[in-house]
Amino acid sequence: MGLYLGLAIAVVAGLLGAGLGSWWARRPGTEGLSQRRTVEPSTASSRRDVSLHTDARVVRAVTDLELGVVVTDADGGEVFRNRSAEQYATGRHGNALVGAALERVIDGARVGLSLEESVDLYGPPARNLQVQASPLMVESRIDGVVAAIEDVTEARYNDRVRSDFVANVSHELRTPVGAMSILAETLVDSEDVAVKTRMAKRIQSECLRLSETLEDLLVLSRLESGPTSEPETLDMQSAVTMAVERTSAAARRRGVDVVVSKETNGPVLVDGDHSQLTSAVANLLDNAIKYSDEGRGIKISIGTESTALGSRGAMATVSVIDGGIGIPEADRKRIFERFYRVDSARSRETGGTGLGLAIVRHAMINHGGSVEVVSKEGTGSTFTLSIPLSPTQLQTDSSFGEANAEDVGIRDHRTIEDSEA
Amino acid sequence: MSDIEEPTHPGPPQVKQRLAYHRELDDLTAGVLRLGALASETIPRGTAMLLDGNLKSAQDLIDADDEIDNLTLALEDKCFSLIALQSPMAGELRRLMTITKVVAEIERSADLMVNVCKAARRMYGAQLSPTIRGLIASMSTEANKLLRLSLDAFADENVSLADALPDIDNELDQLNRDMVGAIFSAHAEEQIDLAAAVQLALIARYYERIGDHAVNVGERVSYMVTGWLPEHNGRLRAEYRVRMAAEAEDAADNDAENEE
Repeated sequence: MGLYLGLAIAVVAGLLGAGLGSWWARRPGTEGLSQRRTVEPSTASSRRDVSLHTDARVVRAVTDLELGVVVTDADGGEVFRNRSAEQYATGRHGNALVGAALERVIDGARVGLSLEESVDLYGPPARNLQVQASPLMVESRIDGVVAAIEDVTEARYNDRVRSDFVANVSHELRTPVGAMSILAETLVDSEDVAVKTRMAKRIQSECLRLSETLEDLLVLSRLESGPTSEPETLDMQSAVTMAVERTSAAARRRGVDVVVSKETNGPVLVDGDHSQLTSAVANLLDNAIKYSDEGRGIKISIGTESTALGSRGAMATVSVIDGGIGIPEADRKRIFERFYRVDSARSRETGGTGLGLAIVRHAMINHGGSVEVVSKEGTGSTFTLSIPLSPTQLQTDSSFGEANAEDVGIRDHRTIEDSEA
Repeated sequence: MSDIEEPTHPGPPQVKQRLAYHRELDDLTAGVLRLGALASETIPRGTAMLLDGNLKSAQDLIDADDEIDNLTLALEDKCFSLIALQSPMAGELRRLMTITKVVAEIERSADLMVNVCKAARRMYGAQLSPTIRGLIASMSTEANKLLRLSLDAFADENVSLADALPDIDNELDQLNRDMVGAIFSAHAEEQIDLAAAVQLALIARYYERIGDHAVNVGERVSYMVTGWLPEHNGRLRAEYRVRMAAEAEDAADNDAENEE
């Protein structure tokens, strides 16, 4: 990351030093940055210089660069600022702080220091930026400063996901193996039959846990390799019914009622793999049951939703709505990662492999759909699956015209959140 | 002939001086926005610390408040010296007076987040229910939104936005009441002890106060643009009451004279 930034700066500095610098210097009334004297002795370099600074493409390229670029003269007076860096000039909120960091590194570069500063903004939106400046040298004299601002939010996030995944996967696999090894040791040494039985039972339960994890990992890797069977046209209702049946024992144990409602008349047809869709709904339902307070109801609603594409992009939706503990905002984006735990202490009690939502996400990707979550701590969560409707449905269902599309489209996720709040 | 020429401004030296003065006014506005940005960043940062129970980041935030205090003092000093040296008039004077008030409001908001950090340290280890965590997150979002809107109103001299802030603040006041209810029931169910309950009630109050300071900033922005404060309405009402009372007294005297 740092390397990339350094490289980018070097390239930009080279371009600007050779091209823009003299381009700006030729403007009437501009002080500093004059390279006329320094390039005159060599005809070759002067020709290169001319071709660069007359080439408006160079300026345009730097102007449109995603990296923010600011060039100043030796006194810190600004001579160039590309489009991406403009937001920090008269910045407000977070951008004002980036602007302040920019001023600091530029002041440093004016006295010959190459400084780098990280700006971590909580926002919203949360952003991580890297601000860096280096002096532009002409014959060992500081002739100006080039500064760069890079948005490293995505890169930081990806780094964290990767390192967390490695840590989590080793934890999930090692814990049961470690426990079994210690339990087996005790089993060997113990003479007491009661102790032996207890140890053996716990080894069994750790085994079960490990085999569940391995099973889910295999399911996930199958899903990741893409759709295996030919897609069949099926009614989402039947996938939901099957999922409800599969989780009914757990729901009864927790005393949770599951109510299925349908917003449209007739079947909601999609083309896909029945077992994948069933397991996606079942996984969501399983979570809803686990994280709901006892006696609270869970609602599943099946419907259709038109998208910006009109009826051609219409989606079948299945929402699983619980009134449970909800998901903290910081975790909401990350719960679909493999082995990500919001609260590792609690997940030990509730069980589960930590792969359920990853399975849901991959099942949706395989069907060209998506899964979204709206949640508030203490109020509950709504997970919505969207899967493209089958062309069969669009042909037979004449009611799904443009007129109908409008009133279906109103039901977006925001209204759910509002009504919950 | 030299390539480099000093940039010159037309007109007498006073013009040059005046230009420098206007640049200082602009810098001052940018400084207020920078202070506001520092303060508004402390809100989500402090809340994340409170919800994750990260004591290291609590101390960082408390230390970072010194920078905010420093900047506040610098901005105030700048205002005073400009008022003293440049004898600003009308709108410019109002702007400078407004900035002295506004920076104090912003600085106080950041102090309130320091209070949140200290309260979080005192109740460290208390298990917060999802309802309370959700309410804290909502209060933080609302308080941050209000502070940012008040800064937008200041930067854009947007009086209608400034005047809308009290209504927007109602949401935060309602959350504060909800929070008090949630604390009572959590304490009744013995989820939290009395000490934690008191700290939580204080924390809710701190967020609620940040909203009030944002409303104050909005009032000052209105004053900066229009020269009118809500307190002026109060003064008018008081004067009106005095006048009405005097008239009533006169009328009573007249009636008494007529009867005689």
